[in-house]
Amino acid sequence: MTKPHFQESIENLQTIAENLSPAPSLNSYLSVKTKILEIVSAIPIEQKTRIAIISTFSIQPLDLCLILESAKQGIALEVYVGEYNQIFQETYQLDSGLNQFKPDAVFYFCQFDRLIPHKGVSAIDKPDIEELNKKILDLYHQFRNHHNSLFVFSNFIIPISFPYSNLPSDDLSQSLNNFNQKFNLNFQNLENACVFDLENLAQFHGKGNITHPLLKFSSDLYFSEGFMVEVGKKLATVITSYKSKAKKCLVLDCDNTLWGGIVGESGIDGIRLSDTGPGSEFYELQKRIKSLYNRGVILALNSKNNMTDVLEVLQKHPYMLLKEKDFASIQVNWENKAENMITIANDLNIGLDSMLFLDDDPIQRKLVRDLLPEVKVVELPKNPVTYFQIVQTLTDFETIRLTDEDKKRGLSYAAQKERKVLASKSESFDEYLKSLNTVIEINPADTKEIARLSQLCQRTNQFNLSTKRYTESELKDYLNSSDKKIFSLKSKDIFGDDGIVGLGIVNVDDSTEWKLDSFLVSCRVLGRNIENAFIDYISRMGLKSSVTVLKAEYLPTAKNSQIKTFFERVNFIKKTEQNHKIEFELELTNYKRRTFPGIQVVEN
Amino acid sequence: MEEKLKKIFVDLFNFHDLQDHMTRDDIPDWDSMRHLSLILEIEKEFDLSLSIEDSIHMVSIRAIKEIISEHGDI
Repeated sequence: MTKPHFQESIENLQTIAENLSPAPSLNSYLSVKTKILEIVSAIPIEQKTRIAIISTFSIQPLDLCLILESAKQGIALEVYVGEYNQIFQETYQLDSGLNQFKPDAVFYFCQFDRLIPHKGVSAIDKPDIEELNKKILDLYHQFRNHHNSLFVFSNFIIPISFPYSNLPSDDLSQSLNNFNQKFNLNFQNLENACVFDLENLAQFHGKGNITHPLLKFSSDLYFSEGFMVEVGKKLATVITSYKSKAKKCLVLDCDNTLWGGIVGESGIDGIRLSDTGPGSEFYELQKRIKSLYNRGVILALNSKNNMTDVLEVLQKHPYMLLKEKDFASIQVNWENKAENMITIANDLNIGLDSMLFLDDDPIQRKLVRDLLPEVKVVELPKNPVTYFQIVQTLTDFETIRLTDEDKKRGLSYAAQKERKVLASKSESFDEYLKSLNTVIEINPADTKEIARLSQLCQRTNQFNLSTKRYTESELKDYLNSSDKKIFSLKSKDIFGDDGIVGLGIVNVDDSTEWKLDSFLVSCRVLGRNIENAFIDYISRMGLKSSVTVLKAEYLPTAKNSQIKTFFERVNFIKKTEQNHKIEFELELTNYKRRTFPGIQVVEN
Repeated sequence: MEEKLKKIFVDLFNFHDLQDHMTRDDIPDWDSMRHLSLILEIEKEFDLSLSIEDSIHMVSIRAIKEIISEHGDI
């Protein structure tokens, strides 16, 4: 069997990446440059993500590093590196390399003293923060005039204060520090834009090592060989999250992973978990996991233990930072861990490829890896003292923008668990639905909702009609277009408020036929008639506008067969089927409003 | 020094026939990026710290050898 060309190219790039030394030098990249570019140029253009890197200093071979790091995630790139120190020309001039290249994402790396050179600001003077900010916003708006794509701007590395003294740091370091803090806030209001935290990366790498003096002074290469690789790896994670390949759920083992020792043998008082001394390495690890939870990563337990032992630790151990309610799914039993992974995936309605598994036991890791290759299994050393660092530097959960829904996700899964308990106690399913007192709100989308709606486009894999991954800018264009209507769906019930959980985009350019361009609902709220009420609403809106037919084109992926079944169930008629692509139609002329017990629909 | 240098040129430029009279023009792959690589490799291999002037002057084999010798290593 011949492999598809794309996969083969990606594998070739992965092989090159594997053969590089663990700390690749400038020359390691240069010696494989021709090979890399050959492979890349053979990949059809529509299969490559187009990335531009614009900088005020020499930045090669970051492009090669980035191509290899992205290939590791299964993403093929075409990279354009802007002319040396020509960020304004590249951005402002219509015929510049950047503007001709039409990137899917652009990354800017600038030294502050080169952004505002005309003021005579040198690297030891305090920069004019306002001026700096204005320059960057100008770049953003100029770029936005020509492109809808993702705009990423690196923050500034705060230099080690000089003179290198014990006195309080100089004006320069302080003002850059202030700038970086404000910078993040400013960027939250820009569409499809985010900050690349270069300063943090530099801190982690060690500021004494980020430049190699000779490279810098002779050729204006700002990044040392080692730091360049770090930057490349981090950039690749931003691209990965942009291409919606980021993971969603961290699955954890208990004994010797979350605490030291075996609770089933030594009991709650015998395990090692503390804020000082032995056991504090696990406490540090739990802090890192908790911070992932706070950023919207779903947590689950997969452990061979007695449930009562583990629950006792979760509920009563004074240094157990992770609580029972923080785990969206708890599989503590004596089943095989691969089975448990499948249970968790089903329980949470997420794909196995959205999961990351952390377990100290190499045998369990191998089992999961062998049986479920889709799950990413984190390699851990025997000694747990570095586990916290490994988790801290995990890049698999990268997200371009944090939404309110991300921050609430943990609570929302906790609510989901309570719903399940209620469902198991209820006499009938209808009884259960009624007792939830669900209120859903469906509205034409609002500009303020764009960030979350775009995120839903990126994250929703299963209940998604067309899996079109719209960016914020694209959605905003649709908002302003009379050819499209965008509907947003919010849901809450007695257990909590899930925020925005669904999106419908309808082509309304034809006055008699509407066509669903996108229809998706977050897996968290499925199975409670919410999705039914949503499609009912859109059907009614059509009827109200004297539309006779509502069409829906199903584009199949490896994961979205669920929504096909849904459209069949809600009486859409299959008109054509080609290469598994299905044209559905619903006759609206005689459409009758449907009601759903226990669901109150609020609509404007 | 001769052997170490020969090895560097094979590794970096895939160039096997190194002779003293040769310059940047004789070695096709010796572009500006690889020149930096060359400087870094020489620093590592001979354990020296080169100046920018050194880097600029290192455009022929003879010059490279002279500079390395000046730094006291053989």
